[in-house]
Amino acid sequence: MFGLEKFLAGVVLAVTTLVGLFISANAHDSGFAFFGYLLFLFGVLMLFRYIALLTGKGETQP
Amino acid sequence: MTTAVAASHPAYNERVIRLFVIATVFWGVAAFLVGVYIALELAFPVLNLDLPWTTFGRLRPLHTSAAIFAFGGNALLGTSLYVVQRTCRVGLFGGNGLAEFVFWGYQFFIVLAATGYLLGITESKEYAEPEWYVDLWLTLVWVVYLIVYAGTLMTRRESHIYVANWFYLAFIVTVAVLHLGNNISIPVSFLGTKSYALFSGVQDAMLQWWYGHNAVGFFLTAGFLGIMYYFVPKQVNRPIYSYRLSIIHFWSLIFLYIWAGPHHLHYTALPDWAQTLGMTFSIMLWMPSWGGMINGLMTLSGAWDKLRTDPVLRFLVVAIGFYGMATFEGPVMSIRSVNSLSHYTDWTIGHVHSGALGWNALVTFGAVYYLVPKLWKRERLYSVRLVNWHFWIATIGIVLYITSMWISGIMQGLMWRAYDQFGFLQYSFVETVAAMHPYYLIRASGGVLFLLGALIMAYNVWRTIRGDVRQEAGLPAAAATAKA
Repeated sequence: MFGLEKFLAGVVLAVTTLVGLFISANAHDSGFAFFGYLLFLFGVLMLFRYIALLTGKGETQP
Repeated sequence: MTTAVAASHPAYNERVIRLFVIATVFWGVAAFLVGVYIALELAFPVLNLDLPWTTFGRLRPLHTSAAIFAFGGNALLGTSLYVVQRTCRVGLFGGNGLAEFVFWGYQFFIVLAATGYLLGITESKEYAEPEWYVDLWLTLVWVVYLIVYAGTLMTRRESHIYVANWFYLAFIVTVAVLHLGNNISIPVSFLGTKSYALFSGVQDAMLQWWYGHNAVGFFLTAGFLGIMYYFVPKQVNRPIYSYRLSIIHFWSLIFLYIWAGPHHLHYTALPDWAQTLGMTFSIMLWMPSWGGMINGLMTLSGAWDKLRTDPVLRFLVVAIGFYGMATFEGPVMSIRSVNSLSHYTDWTIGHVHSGALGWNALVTFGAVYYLVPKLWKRERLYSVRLVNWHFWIATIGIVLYITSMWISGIMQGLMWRAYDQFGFLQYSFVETVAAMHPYYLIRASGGVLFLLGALIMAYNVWRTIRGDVRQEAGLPAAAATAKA
């Protein structure tokens, strides 16, 4: 991945995380609120994963 | 020669494949465990526990989705990304970043779907139960998966696209079309879970079974044939029996399968011509299915003796046998007069499980046993003897399961249609349920054996990953030899 792609991936995941927060705050039923919490959690964990992947000793990129 | 090949060897993305293999084993055990539990619920209804979350109605889609999409899906995604790299001699398009998004995004889809079922959130469409927001998430993940897969194919360093990739690509593209077509629904609110399907009545039913049958055709058949066409030749160390037959197999299967869905709607409001069309194409499907089976089995020509010493190969070959059996039984059951007896009975459950356990699960077990030593750079599996135990326990479990369901289903159908001399129904519904009780127990015991086999596999995989090797002096040398 080039630098711009890394940046865009980070932005997309940050937006996903915020969407999760918005959903959990405004959901009309408990099931959708639960979805919002999970989406928020997924976004945060993926952001950390990407930071580890892009700054750590990953596999050699082909 | 070896040195030259090694020197030009591209860097493959194997970390994500390892994740998929672990997820396959984990979700497999989970799916089989829930399956055993709901089988026992049918035999002993008290196990429903009078709780909404543990009723059969909520746990059944949890079991089917865990088996098909979590266990089968992870196996398909993992093996497809492994095979496309090896046969194209190039790493994954997009590198680890995109590939890991596919992996974790797919696990997130599974968690969303599973928790939704337990909470009672469902579209009530068989095999397409998740609500609109889960469908949208899966669409996003699937598009990224297609980009990774197709991008790898387009950047390949081999001019030829090996046939396994054709099957995998058909699986990816067609499942996308099916998923989009069958999940067109209108949410009640964009901030709520509930939605309603755009279509209604028989149109909705037709669309659902166009999806449902082709989920079998392209998820559980085309994708797993991709596994067969790569892993059987690799394990037996021979080329595929007939490459030309594999091409005919591909195009005829792809063309015929998509029309077969209406056989799920015999004797319904669906027009007769559509029912007949579905039945006819289902019967025609027998030919490509058996062509593929013969191609897989004949790959062992001149090497049948390996079946005696290699339990991993035994998994793959017996899976092909079950594929042939299930694809013979399916067309038979699609014939309207046969369907009038079999439909809505346990015969269908037996048929589905001869395919799901016998074909999909066994071929996946074979692929997992093949992959684990390679991916973790081990000399061989921890224990070949345990693979052998897994094979026999699982096979006996399948036989118990499907034979009990055949007997139970045919008995059930015959009891439903039995009349006395006055023209009244001979049996009440509850009498048919009571008559099936012994077969439910046999089915559950078959499921327990299958689960036990999967736990043995999980243990063997775990010890192999740790790098342990069990000394097994009594085994033939061929079985203990590393396949790496």
